[in-house]
Amino acid sequence: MASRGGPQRPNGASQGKICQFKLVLLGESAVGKSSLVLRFVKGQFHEYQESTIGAAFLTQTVCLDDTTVKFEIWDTAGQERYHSLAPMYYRGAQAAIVVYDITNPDTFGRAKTWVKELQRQASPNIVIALAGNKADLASKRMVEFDEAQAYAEENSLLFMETSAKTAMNVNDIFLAIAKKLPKSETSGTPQPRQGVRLNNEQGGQQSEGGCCK
Amino acid sequence: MSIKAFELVPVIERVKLMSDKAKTQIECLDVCGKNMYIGTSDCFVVHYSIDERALANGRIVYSSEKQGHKYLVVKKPVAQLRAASALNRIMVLCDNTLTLLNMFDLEPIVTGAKIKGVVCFCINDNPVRTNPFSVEICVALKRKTVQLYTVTEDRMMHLRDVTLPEQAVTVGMDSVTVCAALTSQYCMINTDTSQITDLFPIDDNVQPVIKRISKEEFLLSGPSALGIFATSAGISQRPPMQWSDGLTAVSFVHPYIVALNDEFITVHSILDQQQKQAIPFVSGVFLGDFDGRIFVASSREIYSLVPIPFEKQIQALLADKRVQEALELAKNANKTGMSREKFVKMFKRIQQQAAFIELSEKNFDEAGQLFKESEIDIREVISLYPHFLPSSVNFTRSVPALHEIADINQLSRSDEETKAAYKVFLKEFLEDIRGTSITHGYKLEGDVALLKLYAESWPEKLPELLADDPGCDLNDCVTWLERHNRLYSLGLLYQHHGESEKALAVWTNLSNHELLWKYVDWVLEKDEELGVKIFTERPANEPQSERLRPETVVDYLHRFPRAVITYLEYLIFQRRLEKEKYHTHLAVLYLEAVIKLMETNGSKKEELDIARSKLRHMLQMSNLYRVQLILGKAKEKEMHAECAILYGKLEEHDKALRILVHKLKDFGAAENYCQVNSRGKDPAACKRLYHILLSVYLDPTYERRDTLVAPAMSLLNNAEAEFDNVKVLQLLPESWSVGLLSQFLTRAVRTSMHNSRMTRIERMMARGENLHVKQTFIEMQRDAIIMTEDRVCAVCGRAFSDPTFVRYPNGVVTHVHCAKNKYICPVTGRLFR
Repeated sequence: MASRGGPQRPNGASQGKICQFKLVLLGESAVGKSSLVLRFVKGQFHEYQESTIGAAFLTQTVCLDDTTVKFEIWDTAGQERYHSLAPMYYRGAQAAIVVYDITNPDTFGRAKTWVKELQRQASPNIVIALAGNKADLASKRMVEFDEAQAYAEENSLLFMETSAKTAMNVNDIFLAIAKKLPKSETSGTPQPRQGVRLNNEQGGQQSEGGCCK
Repeated sequence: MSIKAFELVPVIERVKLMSDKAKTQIECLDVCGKNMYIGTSDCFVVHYSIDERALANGRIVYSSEKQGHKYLVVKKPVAQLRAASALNRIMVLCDNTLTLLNMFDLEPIVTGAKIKGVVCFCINDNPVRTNPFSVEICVALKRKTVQLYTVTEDRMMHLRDVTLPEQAVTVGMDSVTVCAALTSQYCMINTDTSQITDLFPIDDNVQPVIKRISKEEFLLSGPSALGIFATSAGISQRPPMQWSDGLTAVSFVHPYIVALNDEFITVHSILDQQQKQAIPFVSGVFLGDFDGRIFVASSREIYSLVPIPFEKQIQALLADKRVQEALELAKNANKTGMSREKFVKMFKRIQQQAAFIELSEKNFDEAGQLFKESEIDIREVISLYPHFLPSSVNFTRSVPALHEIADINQLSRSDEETKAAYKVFLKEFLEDIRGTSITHGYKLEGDVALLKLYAESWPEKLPELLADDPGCDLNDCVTWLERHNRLYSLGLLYQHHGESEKALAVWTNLSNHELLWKYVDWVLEKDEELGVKIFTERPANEPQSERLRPETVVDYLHRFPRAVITYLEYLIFQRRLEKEKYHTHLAVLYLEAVIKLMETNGSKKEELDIARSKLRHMLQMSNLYRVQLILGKAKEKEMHAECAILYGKLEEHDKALRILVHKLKDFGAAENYCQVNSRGKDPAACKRLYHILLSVYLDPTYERRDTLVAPAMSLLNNAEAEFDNVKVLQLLPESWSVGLLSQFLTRAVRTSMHNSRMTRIERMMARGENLHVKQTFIEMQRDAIIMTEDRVCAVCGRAFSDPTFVRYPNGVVTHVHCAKNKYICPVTGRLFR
């Protein structure tokens, strides 16, 4: 429904419309997923962020031109033992941020795996962003910017190097995602339950289609 | 952080069976209305009726009575048991076989409907096909299949099969979706399409648990003891919950998820996924919710988890100052069947309580937000600030109380800084809500409080408030503004209430003289006489100020002739300033006024009279002006009456009286002059004055002296005039007959006789009084003294042997021989004389 309604509707027609998007963060443990979210949602940074158990849920609203975009953010746990839960959280998501740590090449490899998994299993229209976090530790850089960017272009991903610590590019990457998402006629009075269920249907049908291919 | 959400109440203390020897243990149970069915480890189904009663103190107690039991013959434990009240049947799973029993007599159904090879089964609580006299169940078979059946009174009709990759261990169902725990993973099975969505793998050491918690949503036990939510679409819409290890059963009663393991019953909130309560409960075997009631069983006992009423839980949270949790819980209370209206009322009240807690914690933003959202009666807030409610408003805080705060003094523990912060809060809150619907009906209260706050600390905001139609009444705003010396604003307030007179009076009192000067011009230009009141009606206790020095004011008022007169009059007659300058100034001004009137032709006589009498009064009253200056001008203009007064001031009575008598021929005035000028002087001076007047009358050099005989006589006969009679006799012309003078003479003789007699009487009376005082004095000194044997002399310390002794007026008693001097106290040395 989202893709059907979005582009045809002229922008001026619905002023002050509210769009709600499910966004999931994926990536190896300790790359800074929770820190990115914390920075984006609360503007805070904790040097010693506890590792996430299972998954965490936060929301943040951003304004984009005349549209209010509400992100429902699912911050998944990076630890291996929780890996199996990830599909539960990225199913039906319209956007994903795959995070790696620029000082750790293994996490970049893991990020690629996540991207592949998303491309295979998640909604076909999902907007994927690649975030090279910990950009403040440039002196310990192990993953080159160009390399990551080349990979992102190849897979048509949004790409930014971010730093939750210095807040560099944190809001920007979320805004970039918001811009790229199709703004459909989501209800003016947001009803979380309803909104999500619409998405579910969409996700269900599409993953079904994906399977058959 | 914990909360008491449930209370464990025993339902059946010891499950009674036929034989006590049998090692009967509870395996499973179901509750259906008042009926409780228990499946045991030794193949019995036992029927109890349970009764729930609330005691007067609100506690819930259960009584139970065994109704019957049934042995199922196979010697295997009863694995699962569910009652289907619509069918009057119980479904029993025992020895992998699902059978039906009659709900009341527990007898098997004769049709023999049964399913074999069953691992587990579940009832679809949200069936798509709705025949009220059937129940849809999902059955997991040993042979990697789940089957759907419709169960009626006597039959189990097979609907469809879904083949699975593995055997299902436990199942849950909602609508067309079956959630199944296979041996290695959880999955969602769409029974219409047979499509299977994999969820996540099941760890080897975790007992799979599936609990349907709402429409198309299940709760599953996940890896690392996580509780994972999953919708029929395989999506998790709530963050996971951290459970303890070894979970065996889960129940859900909104908003609490209750889980059982070997040692504890844990309670999590579905709202924030946090653990709220842990109840120790060892060796629990079964936990289930039945129509909103939770029952838990150990091997021999059954308990109910009785929910603590929401209200109570919320109050407990509030008492712990856990505002967020309380609000969250309150928001969800409407899901417990409360009417919308009642809920809104309750919720607002809780918001208000929460707001006061936030306020006491100094979380001002939150408090303000909550106050606004809950549409608090603003008087509740203002009443925390002593004296901020208008005195005319009779307000008592709501009962039961929303908070236990006495006032902000208590909150701030009289720390001024904190107190100030509270006041800032109130100010911002009131500003924020001003004009919104919250203040509806309480505009007065709100504006008065704002006014008081501004008066205290934000005076610059007062004019704005007052300019903008404030609802303030006059009563205590006036006193408040006065107390804080916000007089300019007070003036505005009066103006606003149409009391311009008072406004002016207030501005008059402006102690901020800078401000005052701003308004003076305007006022004076409007009305000199009223405006000058600003200067003349100053508060008595006002400190002296450079800006309001009389010189400055007089200089300033130069442009306003009438004002300056009024001001000088004020200075002289009211403030009684004794400065030559002002007196002269005023006198000159009066004089000028008179002259002006005299020179203008056709001016009214009355006006002139008034002006002159004013001048005369001034000249008469004051002793400070420069007499010569005035006299010069007065002489020039031939103002005799004034000259007379001026001469009088110069003590030139002769000249003064001459003017009065000769020029004005106003004998009354002359007599009056004497009277006035002798006032307060000794009789000799007084006599001298009259004498001068008499001399003027009898002046032999005055050519028309015959005309003065009559006034002279009337003067002599005037009762008030006093004369030295001898001198008068000397002065009188020889030619006057005694007959003419008889009246005077008689009076003179009489007076002197009278004086002599009066003096005598006075003398005698004084003497009598003296005597009287003496007597009183003696009486006062006389006092009875009781002498006893143990009384000793104050001087030598020995006893009294004679009846004679001495007592001094100060009470000291001695022997006669010890009293050496009767005027000096031998002990204190005090002198009596």
